[in-house]
Amino acid sequence: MNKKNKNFNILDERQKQIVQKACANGYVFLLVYLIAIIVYKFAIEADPILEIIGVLVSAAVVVVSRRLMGDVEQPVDYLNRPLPTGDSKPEKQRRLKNYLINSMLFGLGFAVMDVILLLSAGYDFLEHEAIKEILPNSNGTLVLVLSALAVFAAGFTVSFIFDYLIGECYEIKRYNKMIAKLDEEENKQ
Amino acid sequence: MKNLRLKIARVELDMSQEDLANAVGVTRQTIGAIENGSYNPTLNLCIDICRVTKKTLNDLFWEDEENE
Repeated sequence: MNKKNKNFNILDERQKQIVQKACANGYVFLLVYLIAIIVYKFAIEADPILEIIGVLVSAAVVVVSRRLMGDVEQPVDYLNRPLPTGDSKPEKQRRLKNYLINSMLFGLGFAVMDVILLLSAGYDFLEHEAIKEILPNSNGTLVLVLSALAVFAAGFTVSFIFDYLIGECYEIKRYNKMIAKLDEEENKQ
Repeated sequence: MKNLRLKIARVELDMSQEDLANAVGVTRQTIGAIENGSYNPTLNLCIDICRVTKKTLNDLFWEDEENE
């Protein structure tokens, strides 16, 4: 028996690929299940905080695991096109434009979800104490529009700050560092 | 696409799928999947198979019009 046979009882590369794909399928199923529970709990006005934490933590585990395994992605825009990673003004402006568009899409998504949730509640939100106090005698459409705008502004702001800080202070620097290391190794050879 | 060249190389050495699998440290199912073209092995496994069968990567895995 040669050296390789000692590892025979361990999964071989094909089996590892299959297990990895199966785990990914399991994760996607779990994610869809948790999101369905979150939507259901919103609909019955129950507290879905544990499910939300579950979704966020599982996503964070995926991101951190990839980082720990040394995976560095080329920064891309919202259409999956590569973004410039240099320090020149036009390159920074191109990235800034991308952060703005990403954040607008994020805010828009939240605003649409907000409108759907409010409408699914059947205009009950007009009876809410805070609404009565801030917008007395207002109709449902005005409240819907103002709520969507507020949610859009909040989503846009949070997303932009997050995208900008993570992108410029971490992702771009990390990518450039990896490229510089590859250049250095290539020049050594 | 089936990899008949691997099958022929294995048979020439009078090895079964099980023998080859043991020699390169994978399961018999993996060797079967490579031979019937349903699994694309890593370069490391290709090299191990070439070492055992005493063939080159070109002999076993390079696909050109002549070999297709």
